[in-house]
Amino acid sequence: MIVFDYDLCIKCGKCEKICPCLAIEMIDFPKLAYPDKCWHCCACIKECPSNAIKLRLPPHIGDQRYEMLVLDRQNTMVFQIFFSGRMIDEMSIQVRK
Amino acid sequence: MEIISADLAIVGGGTAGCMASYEAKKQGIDAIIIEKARVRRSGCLAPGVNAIYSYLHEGESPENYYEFVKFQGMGLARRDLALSMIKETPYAVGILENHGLPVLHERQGRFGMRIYGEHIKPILADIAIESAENIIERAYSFDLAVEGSRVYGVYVFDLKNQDVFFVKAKAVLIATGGASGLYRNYTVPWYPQSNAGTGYALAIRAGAEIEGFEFRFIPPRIKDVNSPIGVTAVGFRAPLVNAEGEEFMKSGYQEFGGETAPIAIRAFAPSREYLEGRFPVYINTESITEEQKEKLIKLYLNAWPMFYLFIHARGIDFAEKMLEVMPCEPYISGSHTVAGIWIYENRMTSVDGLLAAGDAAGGVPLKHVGGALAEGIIAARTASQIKGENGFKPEERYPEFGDYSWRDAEERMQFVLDHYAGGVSRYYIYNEHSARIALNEIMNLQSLRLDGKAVRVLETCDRLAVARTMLEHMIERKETRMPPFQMRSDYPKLSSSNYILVSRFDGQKHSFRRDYV
Repeated sequence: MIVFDYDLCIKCGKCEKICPCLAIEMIDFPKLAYPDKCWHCCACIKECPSNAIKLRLPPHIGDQRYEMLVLDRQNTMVFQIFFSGRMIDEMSIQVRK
Repeated sequence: MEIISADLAIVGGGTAGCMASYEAKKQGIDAIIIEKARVRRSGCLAPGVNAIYSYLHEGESPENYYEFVKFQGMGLARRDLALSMIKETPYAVGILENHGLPVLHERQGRFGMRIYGEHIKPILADIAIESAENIIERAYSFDLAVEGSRVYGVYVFDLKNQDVFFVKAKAVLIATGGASGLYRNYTVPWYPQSNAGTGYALAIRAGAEIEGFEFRFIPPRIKDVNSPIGVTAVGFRAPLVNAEGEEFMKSGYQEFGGETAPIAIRAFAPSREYLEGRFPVYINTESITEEQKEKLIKLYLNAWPMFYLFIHARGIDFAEKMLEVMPCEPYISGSHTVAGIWIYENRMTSVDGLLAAGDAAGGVPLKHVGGALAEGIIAARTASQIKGENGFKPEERYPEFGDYSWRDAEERMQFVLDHYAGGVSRYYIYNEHSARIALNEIMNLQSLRLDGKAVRVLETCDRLAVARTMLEHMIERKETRMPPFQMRSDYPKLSSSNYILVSRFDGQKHSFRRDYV
């Protein structure tokens, strides 16, 4: 499930536009309007310019204190794992030559 | 009603659609892409992909590939389509590499090429932007204009302003994804909810021939997170084991190829272990080295990033805590089974001017990304050969909306298919009686006029059309041909028949023919 940090959100609407499943809607702030339609693909997280969206596992899969953030650094994507808000692991991959 | 004209209208800005746009420009024709979401991250490649399967490596011949897919399809595969497709894959991958895709030039199985493909969709979008005459996003193609046996264009519902416009074209390419969300899912789905089977529904309503819809795709996956196991099982040769520690693929399925049996058998075998109580089923990764482990996680980051979060939250260490495997709910997907729109070698469907490629097209049981890229290219070349003026006058059209909640209809459909048409809860088994119950209920749901957000209503209608044709096929094939993809309790003996079932819907009922392969 994606979670929004509305203190960081700048209401740009990029998450709504990029969502492949059209699961996000902007009404003042973005909202996961159709939770069953979220594929957990992270497209919105990668697109967000203010790092305001994180991924959690659906509750039936696992511990809700863990979250993932993905940072788009041009030719590299950086994946960070958080536990109770503290970063505990990080990995990056090259995505463009 | 606004009319937009093009040589080629491409429905779906995915793998096949973006590649078709590239080749259309090269062949000197104008293409328009109509996309429901945003090309940059739409469809099943939104999170990326870590291998291009169906790649012709040096030293392999197209005939070898055909034999390989025929084995994967348990004997059912179209030779003409497999041979013409595989020849184009090095060319297609070369285009992606030239546009910045990191290709590792390492084998992933016999016909796979490892890539760092997290950005494959943004790269495909770059290719589409530089080649297409026009890209129309947030637009839902809801009906084809067919007169006689020829297509003249496509009616499109603009999700931004709720207007309908018409794209008039000499050729229309259906390049949509397959169908997800037909059956009730037990966890996050394997295949994106965006893929509502729209291309199939367009073809069915237009009276185009459909093939192999009785073969649903049921992938064995990492349990709960529903991430791929191919990269682990095939790439790192990790075997499947049951709760008793038995490597059951080796002990029970040697005649089908053991650990490297066709994917249907690799889904069937674990589902039997569950049914007979020997679960959990694991993929044994104990012998994977630290170096391999890092590489494996990186491959997942390129294709299914939730896996990285999953292994942390569940405390999975490959050396000690093994990954569980479970097949998920069924899908219809032309890139994984022979199910899809029936096409000729040039990717023309049975309707003149109507082409299909990628997940939308049937006939090759293992097509994946490489095959979708190649078919987009072949379809665009065929489109460039279509000459003549299109004087078609579109009529005023608007999708039908009503007052029955799409959500209620969708939930009923998913429940009924799960229970009566061989879903997870029935271990994928069905029989004539149960399938007819499902068919009646799907037809009842189709008679309702749905209410709610336009995109959701249109998706639900498309899913219902796909479900109906799937059930008609499942009833028509009176044998068990490919467990668990197609497996009946009233005809339990495994058959080795050599026909692909082809149907056509005339607006009232389905008629069938058999295509021998």
